[in-house]
Amino acid sequence: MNMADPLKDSYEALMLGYAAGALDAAQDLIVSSHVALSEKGRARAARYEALGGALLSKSCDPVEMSAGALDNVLARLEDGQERASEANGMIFPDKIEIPDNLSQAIAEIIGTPQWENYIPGFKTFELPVPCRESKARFLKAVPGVKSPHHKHGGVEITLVLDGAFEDETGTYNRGDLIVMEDDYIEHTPVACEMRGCVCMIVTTAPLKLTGIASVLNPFIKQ
Amino acid sequence: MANKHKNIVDSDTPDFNALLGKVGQTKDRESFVTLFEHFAPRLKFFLMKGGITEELADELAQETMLTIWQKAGSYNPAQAAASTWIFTIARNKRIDAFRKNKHFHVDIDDTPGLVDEKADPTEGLDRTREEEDIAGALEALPEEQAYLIKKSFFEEKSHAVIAEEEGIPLGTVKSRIRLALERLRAEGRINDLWD
Repeated sequence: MNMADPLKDSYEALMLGYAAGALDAAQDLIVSSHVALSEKGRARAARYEALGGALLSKSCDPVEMSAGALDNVLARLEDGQERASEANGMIFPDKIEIPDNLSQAIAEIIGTPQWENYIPGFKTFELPVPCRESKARFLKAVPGVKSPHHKHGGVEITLVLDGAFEDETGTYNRGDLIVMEDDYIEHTPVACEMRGCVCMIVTTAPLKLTGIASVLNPFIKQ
Repeated sequence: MANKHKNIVDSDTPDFNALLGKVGQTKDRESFVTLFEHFAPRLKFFLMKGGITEELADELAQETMLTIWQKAGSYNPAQAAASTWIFTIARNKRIDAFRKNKHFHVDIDDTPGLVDEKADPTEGLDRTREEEDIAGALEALPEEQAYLIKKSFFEEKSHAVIAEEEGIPLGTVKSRIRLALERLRAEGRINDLWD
């Protein structure tokens, strides 16, 4: 039996959640961007979607459709299709190429972003995705900088868009997604020497803090 | 080819991949009706499991079938079995219906560069077979593992939400998911589900 690998477990569980449509708006955005950029992400999403397909065909009993349902649908087959909205021509700072879905989201939410100063060695801009539980931001690190130690509560999902960063778990390049949860140890990502690193980061506060637990089931023992 | 296919899949079951292909290529209504009669009631069950009313589930199932008609041209049997492709359409429909703000889900079908157009069409048989294997392996999972996977898909809950709701440690939920996926890979003969 394989040893538990917390980073891998978190990644796989997140991809399963993505395939199931279970992620919140910010998490869904970063994961679908990962899928657009990464062959591994696409393969994972496809495999977990196959689970969904198997459930649909084998674990779903037929529930009778309403009387006119088929006729309604047949009558609409000739309807024109809604045109997918054209991707906006938003240019990401430093002209980094990003997937269309992400470009569209940024354009719709904040227009054209600009880097702002953050902590030393880092620039940032926030992306206020309408979402109760999670926040999204973009981070640019100058080469060689170390980010300060911090312990994570909740979930932190990082997608590398440009350059690379490395920490004690490995080196991460464009398209790679790293998922760190409560049960992961402290880490210190180091921006790669070659080029500075640009990432998208989605952070989700621990669910206890957002009160989701109590909303769903007041009888859960804490 | 048709005979070979009948040996692999239950011969009473229509070849849904082929029917979906016909809808895509020739807008064949008869094929679409067969797909509707099989999938719409199951989509309705799936959607109702998520907790919405029967009326709304009925409506969303209809909307899903309509989208299937419109997008069938981009269905590629080498990429996914028909029920998987249909599932993803229903999933996106559900996300759109219930998230207050539009979601920015990447739609692989709308992104030509992401679809491997040179893929071997006979791989479609593999996808269907694989799905049969997965379904069988799912049924054989220990209860606490099958339960987590079904809860994720039917109720749209992430593993963190499930852990919180059920009062189970996060690590336990993830372990059970991992064990379930390892077993699905072993029994379902799915090679790259977990590497």
